[in-house]
Formats: sequence, structure tokens, C-alpha cells
Amino acid sequence: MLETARVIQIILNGTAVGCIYGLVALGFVLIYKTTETVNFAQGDLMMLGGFLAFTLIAKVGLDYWLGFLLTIVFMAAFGYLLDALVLRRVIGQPQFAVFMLTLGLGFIFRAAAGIVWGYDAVSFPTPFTGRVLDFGGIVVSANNLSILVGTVGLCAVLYLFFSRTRLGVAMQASSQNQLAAYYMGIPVRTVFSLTWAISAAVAAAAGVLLAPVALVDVNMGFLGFKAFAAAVLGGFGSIPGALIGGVVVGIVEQVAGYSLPAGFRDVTANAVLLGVLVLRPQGILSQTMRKKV
Amino acid sequence: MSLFAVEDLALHFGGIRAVDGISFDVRDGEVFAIIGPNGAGKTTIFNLISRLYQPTSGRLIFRGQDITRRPPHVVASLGIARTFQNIELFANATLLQNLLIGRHSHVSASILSQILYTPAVRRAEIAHRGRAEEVIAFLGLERHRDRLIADLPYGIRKVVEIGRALCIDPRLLLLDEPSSGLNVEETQEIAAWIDEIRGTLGVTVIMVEHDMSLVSAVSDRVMALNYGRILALGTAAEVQRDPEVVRAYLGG
Repeated sequence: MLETARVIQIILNGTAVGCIYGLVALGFVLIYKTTETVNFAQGDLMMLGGFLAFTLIAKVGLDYWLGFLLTIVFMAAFGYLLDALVLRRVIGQPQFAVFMLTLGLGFIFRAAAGIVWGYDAVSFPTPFTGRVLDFGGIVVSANNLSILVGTVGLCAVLYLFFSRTRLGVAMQASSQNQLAAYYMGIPVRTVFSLTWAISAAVAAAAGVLLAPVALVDVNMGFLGFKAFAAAVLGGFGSIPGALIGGVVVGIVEQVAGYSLPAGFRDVTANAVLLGVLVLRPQGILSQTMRKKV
Repeated sequence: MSLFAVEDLALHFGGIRAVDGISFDVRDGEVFAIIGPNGAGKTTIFNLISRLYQPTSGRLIFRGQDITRRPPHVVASLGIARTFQNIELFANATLLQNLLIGRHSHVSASILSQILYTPAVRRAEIAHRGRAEEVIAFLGLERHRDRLIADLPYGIRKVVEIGRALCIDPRLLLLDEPSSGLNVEETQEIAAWIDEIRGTLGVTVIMVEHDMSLVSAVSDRVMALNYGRILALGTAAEVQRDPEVVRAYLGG
């Protein structure tokens, strides 16, 4: 029985971390689907979200929930402006220019965060800190549980947004055919900026949820590489795929950390990615399954 | 009465005068065709009217309103819809979904009420669905309703694109080469739709077209262009007899 409990334990921990990968991957996918660019600064947006929450909650002394909400609002505004003021200037340029631009933005964000918040890892108190739930031998920290619940809640809101609202449908339309979307009365540029806003907001939420588990530091954004693996795993273009990909990477990583020698853990995400690219290059969820409007 | 007016419209690409000072009026309820040999500036004019290109000079007046600087998405909400020569549909969506996106500019509820799916939003959704169904019935597309655009043949897609434009409830419909890629029967079918759209729905149509049989069959007035200038403007028969037009098409 101990073994089963331990396996469940590992899977639960992996799922929690995987949810974070999934949320960052979701940001990759949203921006890619709508604007056809890959934002390599996605992980760094998460880092900025984490630090911002640290300032609001630990420094300013706001309530956790209020700080969480404000972080999301501020980061959404930041994402919107990032597209409206910076990314929009490279529309029509070669993909490589966009790639270099987002990579460069990542460097700037890390440097700026270092100047503003310093290079030490920080944390802030949450209502979940130190609390543990025991389900008959299976121990779940309240922090991990908050990640799971937070991810599910966020996904539910996003699902309703994309399936029910005019703006969500406009985003899907823009991702399929920009020219046609324009002539249906959809302001495509504004839709692009709003997509960046949502992606930044989701990344910030991931940062706030992850902060109590992994601490916030300048290089937190490198987690984005594992999230990138998760996005590719899910087919890069599929929102459920990104989440499933994230959870798969998270679980594989936990299992590797438990059963393989030290050091293997951090390469497993990329090992899984390589494996998927070789065996199923279109990703776990194939195009026909995922492109449903 | 003039629904749409073009005043001294010009577009220069460097030294090339793609459109060189063109003026014309389109009357409410007419079918107005733009013809001309390749490179005459037909499509350029079309893209200027539908606000894809910014003119070097000149004005566009729609229902007394200057729309020269309005972006394309605003033009849609004013009541101008267009189709494309090479069909621009949402290929990974069903026919019905494509038509429903045409209703986009008529949706006005707040995001929150949409997420909560309030009774008002529900009623509006039913009304939009109803309008889309009317267009489906009008164009006889019932049996393709739930099929993906990617699975439909070219000729049907051409009709779907017209249907999506009709869902905007336009006053003015811009058709870019509606017969391109179609065979003779399909072209006749398109001619019948254009007649119906003008006759039954009262929508004014401006179209760019190569196929003279279609132009003669449906147009009230025809404008022939060459090198960005107007060669002739009149009924299809008048324009086809015009010596300048004959020379432009046949050389000499």
C-alpha cells in the first residue's frame, strides 16, 4: 500500500508543477495561434508576475487575493502595451526578427527585474503556506492544491470566454483568417493586443501560483523552456494540448527525479520533447481534433 | 439617388499611377460592374473602396459619410461587405459558424453577460442564428450547414462567402470576381444569386468581373478601365460598343 501511496504522491506533485508548465504553455499557444509568432519571453512574463505579486503582497502589504487580482490586471495591461507599442512594429517582418525581438525582451525583463528586485529569491505569504491536507496517507500541500484548483478555474474561465463571448470568437476568427476577420468587422490589431494581454495575465497567474512552491527569482522564467516542450508536446496550437503536455512533462519529471540518478530530472522535459518529435511530430492532439471553433 | 460616391480617387505606387483620378457614383439598388483588361486597376480600385489600401488622394462617400480614412473593420459595421477573388473563409469552421461570424458587428452585449449567458444574450443568439438560417435558406445551402468549409467544393465555397457577406446585413456588397474559378453552370447560378440579392434583398452591388456574359446578364451599369483611368461608363451594351474599350481589349 505504501508504494501505491507514494506513486499517487509523485503523480500529484507532478501534476501540480505540470499545471504551471501548462499555463505558461497556454500563453505560448494563445499568442502563436492568433498572431503566428512565438513569444520566447513568456516565461519571463511569469517571472514579472511573481515579482509584482511579491511587491504588492509582501511589501505593500495587500491581502493575498487582492494582490493576486491586481497582479493579473497589471500584467494584462503590460501585455497589451507590449504588443501595441513594441510587437506591432515588427508585423510583416521575417519570423526571425520577431523571434529575436521576443528573445531580447526576455533579456531586458530579467535585467530590469534584477535591478528592481535584486537577484535573491523571494517569497510572500499565502493563505495556503504551511498547510497540509492528508487524504488517508496521501499528503497534499495546500500550495499544490491551490495550483490545481487555480489552473482548473482559470481554464474554465478561458473556455467560457472563447466559446461564448464575441471577443473570444473574434480571436478564434482572427487566428484562422485575418483578412476575412477584418471584413467581418473585427479590429484585428486590437484583438492581437488583447491576446497578448490574456497571455501575460495567464503567465502572471502561473507566477503567483508557483511562487510559494518554487520562490520567485530572476531566472524563474527559464521554466519557459520546459513549458515550450509542453506546448510542442500538445501540438503547438491546441489549448487543451498545452495543458495536457504540461501535466505530462510535470509527471515525467517527478518520476525521473524519484527513480533516476540526480541530474536526469531537468533533462526529461527535453527528452520527452525529442521523443514526441520523432514518434508523433504533430503532437499529442492532432490538428483535426483540436481545430474546433 | 447615390448610395456610394468616389471622388477623384488616386493611388500612386512611386511613379506608377495605378488609379489615376477616378470619379463615379453608384445608385441605390443598382448592380455596378467594373471591367478592364489585366492590370487596368480594377482590383486596386476594389481594395481602395473596401479600405484595404489607402488612397494617395480623393474621397469615398458612403451614404453621405466620408469613409476615406475608416479602417476595414469599421466599414463592415457601416454596412459594406465584400467577398474575395480567391475566397477567404474560416476553413476550419463549419458553414454555419462562418455565417455566424458575419453577425459579429451586430453583437453588442458585455463580456460578462455573454459568459453568464443571460436571457438577453440568449435571445440575441437565437436571433442571429435565425438570420444565418434565413441566408442559408435563401442560398439553398441547407444540406451543407454543418460541414467544414475545408470539405466543401470550390463552387459551394464561393456561394458561402456571399452568404457570409449577406449575414452582415449590408447596404452595399462588393464582389471581387464572383465567377473566377467557376464553370459555365456555376457562373449562371452566381448571376441568379446576384439578381436575387439586388431584387429580393435590395442590396446594392459593385463587382469586379472578367466574364462578360455575367456582366451583361446582371449589371445596370458598367465602368471600363485601362491604365487607372475610366475608358467608358454606361450600360453593358454601350460599353462593349465603345471604340476605346474595343481598342483596349484587342490592341491596335
